[in-house]
Parts: sequence; structure tokens; C-alpha cells
Amino acid sequence: MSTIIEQIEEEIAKLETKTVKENTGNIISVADGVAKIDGLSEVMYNEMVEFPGNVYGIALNLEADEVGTVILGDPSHLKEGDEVKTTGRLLSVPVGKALLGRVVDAIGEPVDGKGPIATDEIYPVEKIAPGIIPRESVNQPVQTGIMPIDVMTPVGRGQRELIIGDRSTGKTTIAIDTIINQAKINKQGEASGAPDYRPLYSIYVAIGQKNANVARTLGVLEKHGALEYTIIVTAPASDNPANQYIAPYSGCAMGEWFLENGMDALIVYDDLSKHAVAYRHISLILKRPSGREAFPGDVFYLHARLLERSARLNEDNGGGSLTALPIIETQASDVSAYIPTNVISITDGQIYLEPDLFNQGIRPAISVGLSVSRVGSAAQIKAIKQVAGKVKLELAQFGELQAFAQFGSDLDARTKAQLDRGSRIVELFKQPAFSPIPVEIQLGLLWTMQNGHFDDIEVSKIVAASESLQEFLSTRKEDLMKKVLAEKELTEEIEDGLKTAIEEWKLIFS
Amino acid sequence: MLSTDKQLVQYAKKLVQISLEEGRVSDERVNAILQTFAAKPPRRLKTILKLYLYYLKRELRKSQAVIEYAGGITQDRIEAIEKNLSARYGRPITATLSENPELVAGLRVSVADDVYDATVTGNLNNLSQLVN
Repeated sequence: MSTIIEQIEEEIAKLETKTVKENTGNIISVADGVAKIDGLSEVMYNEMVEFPGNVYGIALNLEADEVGTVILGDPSHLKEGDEVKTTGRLLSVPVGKALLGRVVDAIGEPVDGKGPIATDEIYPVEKIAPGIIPRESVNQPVQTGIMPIDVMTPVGRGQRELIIGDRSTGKTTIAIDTIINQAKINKQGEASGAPDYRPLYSIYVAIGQKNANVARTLGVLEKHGALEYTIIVTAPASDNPANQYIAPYSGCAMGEWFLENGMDALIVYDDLSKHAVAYRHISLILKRPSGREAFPGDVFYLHARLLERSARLNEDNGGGSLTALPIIETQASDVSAYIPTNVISITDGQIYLEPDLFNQGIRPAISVGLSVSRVGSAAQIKAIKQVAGKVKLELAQFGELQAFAQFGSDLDARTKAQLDRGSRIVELFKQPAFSPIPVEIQLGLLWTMQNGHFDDIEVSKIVAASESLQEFLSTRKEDLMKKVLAEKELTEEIEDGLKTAIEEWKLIFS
Repeated sequence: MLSTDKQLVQYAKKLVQISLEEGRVSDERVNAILQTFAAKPPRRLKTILKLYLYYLKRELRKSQAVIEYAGGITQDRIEAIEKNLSARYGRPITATLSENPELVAGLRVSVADDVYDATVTGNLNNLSQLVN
């Protein structure tokens, strides 16, 4: 017995009283998700501070006599005089594959009722973007499954391609289609067992959206089996502006985990207009000087530092990539407003959706003239390049000729042929929502169009013909399509195969 | 609500500077300032005095340590703490005592914005945060 007591005494003697130093302050005021604090003399910019009741905030304004912080979470129980502590940490969120298939809030807490997320790793939400040396140029495609995009404005892995347009013009649909297509490709790739196959994971960040919209998106992804490859980060309209401000950075941190671990990820910011509005809200309450449209002076940096974190790394750095599809909502098609011009100048191209086209039933309502991809054909497979070369030009000419043709009926045969071809391409590019087309089928459709096989079909029947041909190629010509996918090039043999297939299909279709 | 008038804030901060003698607030200097104000009150005296009080309290907190304890503390220990803190902050620091049974055992020392916590309650709180 005495030995045991001695042992316990020894253990007690070994125990040291640990002194913890904390830097503290007191709340002066709390309003609209922003707290002003007296004290916190050692707080650092962007440092996480702890309020009573396990509520955290971020120090954004370091002034001589007070510190301005944004509160993440419910501030309703906070009052003047409450003690606030520094934490010495930057705001961090959980990262890793365990988040796939989950819906989390701006600080990475699950909100889908599926229990805690089993991951040990955390990443800071604010991080400096990769520099010049570890980067590589964008040369691998992200197949969106949307024909006009894959053909005319291709997106590459590591690119930032803006989706811009008025409300209800199909911006989110393009992003969701892309996510669904990645899931389809991932499933095919995994089933094929190819050792060099690199899946592309998706992160969808919903900023300031209605909860009903997020639920609908979640439902669509679930229905199409894409949720298992997707992380949804949500800061809905009912969330405080601080959460809406931090959500895209949190999503980006989750994407960076894939980037830094040699994997590929796609991130959709839906949308950055609302993000800018949330930041304006915070800035105005923090009494930061306001500039154009009452946005603070650093609103450009707000988006530049976020989008610059999307990159493609070279092989020495793991070869991972993070592709960004930011969304901007314009008002009355005004692309020259402050936030749209900022984001247009930051990104590597934009997909502009025109309300007029949308209302005419041309969906996706992509404007050929205003949409551009600065990465261009570097992010296309060779086969698509071979057939898509002239499409954009033909469509642009069609747009001009169509306007001109309205004034007179006498048109020469060449102009008439151009108009016919243009209207057929427009019809061919029509695509229902959430039905991405695999790249090999896209190639088959385009090849058919470019070789005049659609010319004898009425313009009004092109959509039906396209649907029929898609089905024919995917069910009856599976081997040929597999060959196209494997060779990624339009060889003579493939062209012959396509010719035979089209002749066969025409017999069925007519 | 404290005034945010920049000129008045600067003026109040200047008054606090004048109130210091060898880095500590001097009662005599503060009295002299107050007498001067009584004899020749400046415009917006009330606002100035409020600001002066605010910044003076802040200055006083820098040279005062509040020792919260539970379960007794010896005079030697208080002196050791004062000596240690004075050396750490490079200014003379005097301690005031406050008994707080909620701490269970140990000490918590506050100097201006810094809090040194070596209490059972503090350790348990940290532990519970780690567990969560």
C-alpha cells in the first residue's frame, strides 16, 4: 500500500501547473454581426478571436483604441462588456475527402444532419496563392458536357472561367451540369480501372442564396449521383454577412487540399455578386471608407486573392489543380458595372448568358460574341479541335448575317448557305438542363454537322435529330465512341466509322 | 458613448502623457490638471474629462496587476509576482488582490489586456475545448 501512495505522490510532484497567457478585451458594441472591442492589444489581422459561448470572430479592423471584428455564428447572447480572447490562430476549416457528399456551413460544420465529419486535417481559410514557380500552364480539359462551352469556350484544369448573366438565365445550371458531368466521367474512369485516371472533385459554394435553392441543387446532385464527388458549402441569405463573406474562402481551402495533394478539383462560387454585397455590408458597419457603388476600396483584392488561389501545379509540386467557376449576376445585362468588370478582368475568360437568347428558347443562352476563354484550344482534346475550329466564326458570322437578312429577302446562295448552317448549329447547341453530353458524343454531333449530314434535315427538326443521334451513338456505336475517347484524335479510321454510323442512323431517323 | 472627435481624443491622450511621472500616473500631476481645468475650463470640458478618465484608467491598468486567487496566497508570493511582472513589462507594477472561489485553486493575474491563468477552472476549460 505504501508503495502505491509513494507512486501517487511522485506523480503529483511531477505535475506542473501550466500557466496560460491570454490577451483579452471587452466588447464595446455589437451590431449587425460586427463587434467593436476595447483591448486585444496583441491581436493580429485576420486572427480568430473567441467570444463567450463558443462563438468566434475575425479581427478585420485594427485601430488605435479598438478592434473591429466580424462575428461568425449567433451573436444574440453577446453584450457590452463581455470578455473576448485572442486565439493565436487563423480561421481554419476541416478539409479532406471525408467532406465529399456533405453539406457544410461557412466554418466547415456539417448542416446536413449526417453527423460529424471524420477528418483530422484543417486548412486556414485565408492563404497566399501559389507563386509563379510551382505553376504550370493550363492544358488539360474540364469537360463541362455543355456543347457550346466545350466547343467554343473550353475550360481547362486550373482555369478561372466566369459565368455571367442576368437573373434566371441559367448560370447555376451551367455550373451544376459541369459538376454532374465530372461525376459521370469519374464513375467511368473508376470503372475502367485506368491507373493514370485523375478524378475531378467538385465544391459548390452557395453564397447568400435561398435555402430552397440550395436544397434543390442538393436534390439534383443527389439524383444524378454527383453528390458523392461534391462538397457543398452554404452560407444562405439568412446567414450573417460574416459567414457569407468567409464561405468562398472556406470552400477554396477545401479545394486547396485537393490541389496540394496532387488531385484535381473544381470550385463553383455561386455567386460573387452577393459575396461583394456581404463584404460591403461588413465594411460599412466597420466604418471603412466607401468608394464606387458604396463598395470598399479593397473589393477588387477581395476577389483577386480568392480567384488567384485557383491554379494548376507542375509535376514537381504534385500536379494538382483547382479550377474555379465564379458566377456573377448582372443587373439589366450591364456587364460594365463595378463588380462584373472587376471579376471579368481577374478571370481567364467568361461565359456570358443573354436574357434575349434565353427567352427565345436558346438554352444554354450563351452569347457567342461576348463569351471567351483565354486558355482557348490548349484545353481541348485534339479531336474536338479538329471539328470545332470554325464553329465560333461561323456562328459569329451567322449572328451578323441574320441581323442583315432581316432587311431584305434577296440573298445570294452563299449567304443563304451560311444562314442555314448557322441556324442549324444554334439548334444543335440547344441542350436541356442537367443532361451533359459526353465529349465523344459531342464530337460525333459536330462531325455530322461540319460534314453537312444535317443539311437535309429541317431546322425545326435538328433538336430531335440531335437527340436521336446521341442515343444512336451511345447505344449502337459504343465501340466507335470508346475508340474516339481512347485515341482523342480524329483518325481516318474513326472518320470512316463515323461516316458509316451516320449513314446507318439516317436510315433510322428518316 | 465616448466621443470620437479626433482632436479631443488627441488632447485627452496628451493629458495622460502629462500625467505620467517616470512611467507611472502621478496623483500630483493629475490634481494639477484638474485644478487648471477648474480655474480655466476649456470648451467641451465634460467630453474632455470623460476621454481623460477613459485613457487614464487604461494607463493605470498597465501598471496594476489584479491577482485573483482561491485558497489563500502569501505575501512573499505577491511580491514575487510583482517583481516578475515589473521585470517582464519594464515598468513598476503593483498588485491588488481579489478572492475568487470559482477558480477552485490557483491564481489568475491580469495586467492590462494580458491574463495569466494558472487555475484549475482555467485548465478544465482549456481541456474541455480540446475535447470538443
